[in-house]
Amino acid sequence: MGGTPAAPQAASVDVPLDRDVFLRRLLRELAGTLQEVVGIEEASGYISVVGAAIGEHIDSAYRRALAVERLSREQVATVLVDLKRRIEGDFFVLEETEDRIVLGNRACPFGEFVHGRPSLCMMTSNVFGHIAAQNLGYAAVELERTIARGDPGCRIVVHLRPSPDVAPEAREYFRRDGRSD
Amino acid sequence: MAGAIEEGIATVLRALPEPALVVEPDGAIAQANRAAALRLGPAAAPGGALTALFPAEDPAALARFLTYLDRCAGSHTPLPGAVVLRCADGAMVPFRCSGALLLRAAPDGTVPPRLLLRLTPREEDRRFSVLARQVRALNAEIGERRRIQAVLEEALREREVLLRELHHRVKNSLHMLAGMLYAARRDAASPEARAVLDEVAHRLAAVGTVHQMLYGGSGLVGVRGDELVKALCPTVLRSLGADPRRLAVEAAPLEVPNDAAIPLALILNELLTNALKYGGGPHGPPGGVRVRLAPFDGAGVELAVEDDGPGFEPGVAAGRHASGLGLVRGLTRQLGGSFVVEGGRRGNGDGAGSGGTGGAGARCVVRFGSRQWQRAEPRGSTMAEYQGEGTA
Repeated sequence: MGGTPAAPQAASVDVPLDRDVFLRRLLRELAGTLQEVVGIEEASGYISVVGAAIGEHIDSAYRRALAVERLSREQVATVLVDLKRRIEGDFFVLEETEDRIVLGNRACPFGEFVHGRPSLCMMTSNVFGHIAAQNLGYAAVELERTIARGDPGCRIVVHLRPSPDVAPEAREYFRRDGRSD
Repeated sequence: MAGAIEEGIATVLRALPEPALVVEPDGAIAQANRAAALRLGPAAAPGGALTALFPAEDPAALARFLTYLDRCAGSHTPLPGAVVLRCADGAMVPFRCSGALLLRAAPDGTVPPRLLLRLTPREEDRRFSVLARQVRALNAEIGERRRIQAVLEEALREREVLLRELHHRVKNSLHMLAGMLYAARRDAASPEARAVLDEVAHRLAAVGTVHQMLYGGSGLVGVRGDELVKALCPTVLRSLGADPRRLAVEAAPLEVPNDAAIPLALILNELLTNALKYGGGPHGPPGGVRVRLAPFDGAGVELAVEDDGPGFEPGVAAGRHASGLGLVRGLTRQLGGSFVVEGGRRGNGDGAGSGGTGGAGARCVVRFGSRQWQRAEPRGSTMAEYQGEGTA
């Protein structure tokens, strides 16, 4: 008997949807809505608030795990790469000196959902800036190239000393000894 | 040096129109501008604490705000936030705020960092909510209007259905009357009575044809003149037992308004009947009778029925012939038109417009110039050609 093949069941078909995709898409839509409603600058401000909070959590988690009061510069560079690795980014150190840490990136943790959402880069800026400033005293994060803006990869410069050479668009971060550590 | 910086900050604060304060991460107030003093009262004076402006019953709100200030202390880039503070009049007012590091802490820790905190009352948000309410109201109104439009469209459809039904029933009633007249004709003893009943039945059939077109057509405001002519001519031919080849029709696709359609149909019925009866007979040569419906003088219309018969003098026509012409005159007047009998194409034209044909065929012409005749959308050629045998 040659009957018609059974219709595929919803649970067995290949649909690009799981919790990770769902959450990344949610963030993309949320960031897009913010950018449209209040503009990129103000949207970046809101994302910065979130990034600062996430930076605090990650920084304290690494310091507890490494059992140190403050991370060294080498540890900071390693942590910045490692935290991105854990969330499926592909960051790597291009340069590390007393004055700055330069990182490259081949894969954004948000994946393709980051395209056209430069406000989401404030997560990286604030997390990197908070960790570097909190441990080394000062940081100015410069997003030279970003996948979100259409570059093939990211190039992030974390300046560790205040300098007139720091680009005006770089965001400065300072150590704080407040209650949110 | 420090005094100069403080004075500079105070100058900037005075220039800001919104409440603005210089605070420490624990909420201690170092400076405040006039707008802040007016809005928040004496508690916002230098030396005071923002923490005093929080409701005692909501310690979590104060904790969130202090965390926010601490984060603001980490960057010169302003961070957005929100806070509810007790104002000078005792009311709890929501503010949007923007906080950023203004002065870093002294290296020796003796002087805490200073933050610039700018407060924006959320009246703007309220204005936005007013706009949002107006948008919702407009959307509701649009929805209501759409519902009304749907109801009206439905009512219009029902009205069209009813109107078509009405025309249909009128047509059926007319056919029934025509049938009764034909039956009466069979019973009539005198030829004169039979002729009268025939004429009346034919006229009813002509009116019925118009009603049939009205309920069967795409619009209810009028009929196509060419379609009316093509529908009516075969009926007249059949009623007289005439050879369909006797007739040649040329009709333009003119729009005939409802109120003119029935008179025009009756006029055509009378003129064509007369032409077939008296213009060479029902079985004369093919094409001996010609019907033409065409635009006239711009907005007007002209209906001409021509035959190659012996012609006649309208003034001396007698009997049923004269009766039919009388009906044509009356209906033409009713439509505000003119009626003339001219010489046919077989004549020398001397009789044209003179009211007589001089025995060289007859061309009966009705013209309507004052009505709003409108041309319908052409279907194919602008002049529909018709030969009687093709559509009888």
